[in-house]
Order: sequence, then structure tokens, then C-alpha cells
Amino acid sequence: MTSGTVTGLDARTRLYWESSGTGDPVLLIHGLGLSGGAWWRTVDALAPRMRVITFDHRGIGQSESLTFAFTTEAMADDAVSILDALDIDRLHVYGFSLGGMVAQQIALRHPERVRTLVLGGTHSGGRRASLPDPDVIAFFQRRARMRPEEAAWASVPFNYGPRSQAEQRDRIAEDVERRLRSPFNERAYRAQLLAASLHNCYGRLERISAPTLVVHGAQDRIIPVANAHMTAERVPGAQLKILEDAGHLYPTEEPAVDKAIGSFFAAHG
Amino acid sequence: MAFMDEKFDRAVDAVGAVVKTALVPWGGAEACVDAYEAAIRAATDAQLNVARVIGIEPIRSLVASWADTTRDVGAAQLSSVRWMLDV
Repeated sequence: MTSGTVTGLDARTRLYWESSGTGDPVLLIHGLGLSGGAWWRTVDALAPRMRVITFDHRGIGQSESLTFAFTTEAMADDAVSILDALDIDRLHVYGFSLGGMVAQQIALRHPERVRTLVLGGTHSGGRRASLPDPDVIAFFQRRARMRPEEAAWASVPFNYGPRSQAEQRDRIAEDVERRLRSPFNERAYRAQLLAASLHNCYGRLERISAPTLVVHGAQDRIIPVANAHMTAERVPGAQLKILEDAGHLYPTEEPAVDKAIGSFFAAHG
Repeated sequence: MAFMDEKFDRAVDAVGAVVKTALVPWGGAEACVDAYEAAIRAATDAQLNVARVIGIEPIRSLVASWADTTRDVGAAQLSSVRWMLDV
């Protein structure tokens, strides 16, 4: 594994990245408030055959900045600045949750950089997006004020499906332990919440030209599964994979999905 | 509450329909929003290019930060307009 930082033109933004494995490159973009380290299960699954790149968004984990990114456009441009620094012209892009919104922006703002696109547990925004229940929204607003450990455990009923909560306590505990290794920045988290709220690619999904796979847990309480159906209908030629027993954090709940995503990348390599 | 949401949606639809009609002579709402987005990107790119050639700090950092602000404010405006016009 190699790692480094990319310094922005403003001289104060330093984006931390990690690269594992060799082969076709893939960029993994993580979700709200999480560092690139949150991809550890997927990195382990993909790195034997691919070069897997993860990074920390501004203000999260080991990335620093003067200002935080409060739009998914800004987060997309940050990701592309890492590709520039690593001298990667074109690669597979896999975004999860808020990262999936960022991935949509990369596919629309920098289409020449995207070989294939995987949109996991995400939505396209706009008026037709299917919103979560009010108790879920209230929790994520409240979460910023909680202590990290309290917040991580309080998120469990929202992040995982009922089957995982009953049968996969060990895997959930591993996730929480990993998440707590990375420092939590309340201001960066709030900026990311705003970015998710402002995100709106709905009307432009049909302009995405990269081969696309949409993956979603049917039990997702944070981003209802109806959003995946809508996205897959609008992106030309998109494939849809619904995981019936999984909630939002399906990479933990359905480990086999990483293999299926690896096969999708290989089929369009 | 649901009644209020419906009322709000209808009001936004009505305003959106008026704006869409008004923009027809300029190629329609989608074309106008796209043109505005292209202008924002051009302005942002121009500022970033200026920042790249300026070697003096803190001027370079200020210009780069201003480019970020141009992009982000523009993105927020575009998101709102797209939401209202449903494009």
C-alpha cells in the first residue's frame, strides 16, 4: 500500500489518499462523515486484481482544509485533483451513499475520466428523490452533537437491515471499531450534510455515458430503495442490483456484492 | 401537513411553469440552465488558471479560494433552479 497527500492551489487544502494493489485503477468514494479507511472490506476484496484508490474528503480523516466542501461538485473536483496528481487519466469509479452523489458529479463534470460507474446506496437528488422518514433525518441532524462512540452505535438501527442487526453483530462491531479510529470533525460533517441536501443530478442522469451499475439494499432506511430504481431507469443502459436483505451499509451485510462489482469492472475493463 | 406539502408543490409547479414559458425564446429552461452552468465553469476555470500562473502568496491562495467560492455558489444556485424547474 502507498499513500500521500495532494496539496490544492489554495495551499491549505491537503487531500490524503491511499493506493493498494495493481491492475486497472478504481476510485472508491466513501459516504457521509467517513474516511477512506471505511472501505477496508472492499479494498481487501478488489485489491488482489485492481489498483484501488481511496481518499479522505476535506476535513475528514487525514485530509485538511481551510474551507469545507459543501457541494458535491467541489467534492468531485477534489477527487479529480487526486487523479491528476496520481497521473491517472481514466478509471473505474465506485461511490457509496454521499460518495455515489460525488461519483455522479464526476461522471457528468469529467466524463472522459470515467471508465465505468458504480452507484451504491445513493440518490440523484431533485424533487423526485424519495426521502427517508422524518426520524431518520432528525437522527442525522442530532448525530453531529453526539460523542463519536455514542453516534456510531446509535447509527446502527439506521445503517443496517434487520437481518444484520440480529445475525451480524460481530461485523457491525468491526465497522464501529474501524470508524472510531478516524477523528470526527463536526464542521466537515455539517458541510457534507449540506452537500447531500444540495445535490441534484436527477435531470442530467440521462447524460451519463459510462457503463453504470446501481446497487442498493432493499431495507435501506437512509436512502430508500425507490431512488435506485429511479436512477437505474434514467441512466442509459444502467444495470440494477437490489440486495433484498440488506440495509444502507450493504458492503458489510452482503460481502458477496464486492465480487459482483469486481466482475462488473472486469466485464467493462 | 400533507395538505401543506401538496399546496407548496403546486405553488412551485406554477412558478416553474411560468419561468419555463418565459425561457422558451432562449431555447427553453434546460438550455438556459446549461448555459449558466457553462458560464460558472468557465469563470471558475479562468480564476484557477490565474491562480496557477500567480506565484505570489497569499494572492494565489486568495484567487484559488475565490474560484472555489464561484463554483460552489453557482452549484447551489443551479441545484435550486433545477429543483424548482424539475430539469
